Amino acid sequence: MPVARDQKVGKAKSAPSRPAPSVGNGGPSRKLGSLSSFQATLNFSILPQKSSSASTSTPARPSSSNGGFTKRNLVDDAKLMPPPPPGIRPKPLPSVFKNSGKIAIKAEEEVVEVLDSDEEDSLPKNQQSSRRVSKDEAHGDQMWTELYAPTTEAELAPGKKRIERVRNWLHEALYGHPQGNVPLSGGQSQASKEKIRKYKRILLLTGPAGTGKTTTVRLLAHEMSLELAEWEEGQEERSIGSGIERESSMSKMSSFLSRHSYAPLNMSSQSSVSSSSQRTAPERPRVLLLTALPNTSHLPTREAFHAALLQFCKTFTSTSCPLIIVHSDAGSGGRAEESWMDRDRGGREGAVELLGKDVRDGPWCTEIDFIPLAPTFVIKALNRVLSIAVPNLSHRPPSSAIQLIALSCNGDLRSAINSLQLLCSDRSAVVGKKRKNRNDDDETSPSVRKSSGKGSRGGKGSKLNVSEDLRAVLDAVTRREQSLNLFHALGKVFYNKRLGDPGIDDDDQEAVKAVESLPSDELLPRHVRHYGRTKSMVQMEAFLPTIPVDASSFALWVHQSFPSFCTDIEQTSNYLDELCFADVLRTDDDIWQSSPQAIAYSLHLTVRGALMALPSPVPRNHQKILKPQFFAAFRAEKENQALLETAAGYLAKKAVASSVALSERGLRDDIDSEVPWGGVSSRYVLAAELLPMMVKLQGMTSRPLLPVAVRPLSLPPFFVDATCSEELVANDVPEEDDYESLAAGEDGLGTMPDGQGWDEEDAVAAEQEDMAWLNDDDIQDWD
Amino acid sequence: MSLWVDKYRPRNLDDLHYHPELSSRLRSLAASGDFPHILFYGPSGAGKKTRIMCTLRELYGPGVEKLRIDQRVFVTPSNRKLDVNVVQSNYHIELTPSDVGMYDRVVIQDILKEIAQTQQVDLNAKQRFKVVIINEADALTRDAQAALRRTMEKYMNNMRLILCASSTSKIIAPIRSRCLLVRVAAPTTDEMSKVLHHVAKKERFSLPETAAQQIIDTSSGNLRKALLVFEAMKMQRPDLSGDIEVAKADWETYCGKVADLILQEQSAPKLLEVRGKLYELLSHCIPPTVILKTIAERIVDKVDDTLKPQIVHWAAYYELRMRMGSKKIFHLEAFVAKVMT
Repeated sequence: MPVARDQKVGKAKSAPSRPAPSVGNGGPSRKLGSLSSFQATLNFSILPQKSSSASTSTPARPSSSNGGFTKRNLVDDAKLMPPPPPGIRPKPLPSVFKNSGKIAIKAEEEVVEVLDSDEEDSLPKNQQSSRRVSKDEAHGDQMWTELYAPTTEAELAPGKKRIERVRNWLHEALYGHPQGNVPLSGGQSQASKEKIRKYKRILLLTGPAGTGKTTTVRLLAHEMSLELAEWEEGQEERSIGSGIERESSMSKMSSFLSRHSYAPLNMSSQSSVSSSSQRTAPERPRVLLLTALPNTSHLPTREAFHAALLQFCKTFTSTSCPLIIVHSDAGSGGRAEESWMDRDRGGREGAVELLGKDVRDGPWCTEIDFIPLAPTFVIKALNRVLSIAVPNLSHRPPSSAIQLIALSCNGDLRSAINSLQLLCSDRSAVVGKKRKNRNDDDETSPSVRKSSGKGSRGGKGSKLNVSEDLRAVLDAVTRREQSLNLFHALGKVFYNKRLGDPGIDDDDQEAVKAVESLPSDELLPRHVRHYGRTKSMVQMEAFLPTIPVDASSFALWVHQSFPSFCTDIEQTSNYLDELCFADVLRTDDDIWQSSPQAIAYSLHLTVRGALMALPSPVPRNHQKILKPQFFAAFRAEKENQALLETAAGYLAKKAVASSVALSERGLRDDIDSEVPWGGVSSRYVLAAELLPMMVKLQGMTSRPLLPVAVRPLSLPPFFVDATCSEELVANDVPEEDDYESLAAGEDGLGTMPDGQGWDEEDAVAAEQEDMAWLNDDDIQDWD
Repeated sequence: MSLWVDKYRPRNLDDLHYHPELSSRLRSLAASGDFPHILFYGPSGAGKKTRIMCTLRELYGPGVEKLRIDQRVFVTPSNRKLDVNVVQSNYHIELTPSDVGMYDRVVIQDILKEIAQTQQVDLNAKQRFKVVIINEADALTRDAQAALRRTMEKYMNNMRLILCASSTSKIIAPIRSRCLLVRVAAPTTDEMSKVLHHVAKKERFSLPETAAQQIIDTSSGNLRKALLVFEAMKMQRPDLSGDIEVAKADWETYCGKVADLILQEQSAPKLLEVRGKLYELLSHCIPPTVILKTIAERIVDKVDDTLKPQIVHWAAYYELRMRMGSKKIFHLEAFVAKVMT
């Protein structure tokens, strides 16, 4: 058999050169190409190339000409294939022709064009190959996400409002006034503009990955003709790879920031002028873009980063340029990427953590949060990409596939487009194997490349068993890392399908078979008979690895929506018991308990407990699966803890101040002199005893006992009630007034310098907070 | 303006209203010149801190009340920086190392070493040693307690420790044996009423007996709470006469309402509602164990006698679970569901 194979190869090698003798030294390379094209893998490298051509050409290319190209290419293929000697045909070819038989037939009608492409072929080999290399470098690993990035604002996927905000911010940061709002002429407006610009130093774009943050910035920058100076981590540093280089990259980053916070010298004179006459200014204003953030979980790095940012904020000159930080926080969507530990540590590893408290709470920083895209937006965007990338309607994947991708991407457009690309390339891999031997042609001219792209998808024209193919392909494409969609996973648990349930649909047949094939259980002894259940349709071993979040967050998800699937409270109680067990197993304190075994056990317990406790069949009345309240509550708790610290600090300061006052008064014991304040008390006492009462007293007497900042610590009324909340507000006003009078009046002796300073500090801080949303008048007052 | 709790806090051992034998013992200890390490323990609001401060005053005189506050930065071996607020006078230093969680050992070691290695500078000082007050000593980790034990012996010359804890059970035996244990029991009803009347007299009004009784009943031996409630009630209704509603902390009322909610209807939707309330409480830093306890007490008050033991049983069961586990809400809710069944 090996011998026979060799023969075939030999034939195949010699065969292609025959119909195109003019190729000359280009011949051998193509022969090899034609051989290798039998391996489907090679198709991948080609795809981006042709699509790159699509991007360079206008989307509005008439589709008729494209069709022509396709045919010609097929003819190309056909021509390169020798008229097969009887008996020894290269194997894959027949199948290819079968698949695209229709087109192949058409192709033969246009033999004339074959000659054209052949002439292109006849370029010297080395020239071709060199060109090809360069092409590969340029487009070889381009993804559709980059190639077909939106070019106009209308094409951007995020909501219009957000884009508008970003645009306004950019405009304000650069020119000192909102767009459209024509600045007043005169020196006054000049000054105020400078001030606005001074407080528009950092724009933080947050949101899950793939929601178009960076794209928006780039596009807007392009549109407003700004120069984006982007920080990129040097490649070479990565390769050195030890602890020290981290720091060095950090220092590079900070120097990047400080370097770029000033415009280059030659520009500076112009740009200060240009802030009044922006449009005509010859040079392009510059914006810094920071997408690759340093490793902020490493403390020294984070501190250095914060310091650098703060420094950046504080050094403002009229010529310095604003900074945009793009940060995808995976966690806020409650998605898989963020582990429990991360959440524990920083709540949401949010803006504060990232930028540092000073920067975040300072007046310089604006945050715009992008939310995951709705499937409709994703579909829209996918269709747009598709319309450019695959101009021929019949070659596009069906709209059902696009919808599926859109739904399964979790609002991540980037992954959706990647899926789409993979989907399309997969199809081509199935049918377009022969395309490979035209590799060289592909690079010769955009039009030919274009056509080859056609050819790749040409096979799709034959609608043979699409549904099955599609399903298989989509399975591979859309289920990233084989993980189920979170909702799918939860649904599997909640619907608790068991063997013999009514209403099992066709999709489940496979599973039914698998479950039925299991050996039947023995009847349970009487004392545990009430634990008897029919066989579950959830195949645990297969199911558990596909859960997309970690065990403890999965428990939270299950926990949140569980009660609505129960028919009575007993079931709920049983399940909560299991959750308790699972939670006790998995605690972070202990080394064993956070070990993989413990986590696995607790996950099993979570899922099996749920299946055990749920009624069978589960009544379906449109229960909703909700996001756990836990995260919000946890964040609130963290915030309140910080407030508690503030309150504790406040009380301690008061205590200190009063004790100082006390001792200075000659250490007399008269009660009516200075009264001491409470000292340091434990957090628990503070939270549970002191603060609630102090809040109460404060409310009743309008005596200032606590700083304004800790007000959120007071519990909201039990049932939300309009009058109560109004009451709170009413109490608020005298409170602040009293502060001033307290600081100034009662301590007229000057015995409480500390307290006084502190209260004012507070007021200033409050004012600064207002600054974040100010208009220019405010700034002037403040300055 | 300050709270009555602080305003009428006794500052002298002689001013203390109850536990006179304890006061006299502390006084003689302070006078003896051979002051030991002391571990004060007793329930919250019994007056441990007050007694500690009084003792210090006895030791050093009024100078000890001249406080200042410091923010110290400690660096852990893993290069993490910890900020700890430290209240100190010339003669003593007070800290709550358990605030920094698992890194308390570092704080303990650094502070103690620092104190121990500096001699008393003030020549007028009555004592040659300084005092280190460690709050919430029972919340210290094992590591920290072990570190404490070593330093206690080593630096006996110029440093004394005063530990303050709510129970000795979580303090390792070596420390207990090195300290003089001083139990500060919660004041009895009579003692509390004495204090309340004393405060009322100082504020120049008279406290009706019924109101005093009500306050004492709600505060269950916690004098701090009693005084806070007292002050709140006074503000609410200046004459304090007749049938007056006892002022409670918001969260207590809240817990009570949650308990009522539980008893009202036992169903899954109701459970969800309760869950929302529990989250609300938790997010306001009310300790989950306290929530559980308050709710359980309220339920026990309301249910049939035959059910009471069961409810207490489950409350205890889930509180233990809660201490072992990490997600408090599961356990709280499991308790609620259990009660509902």
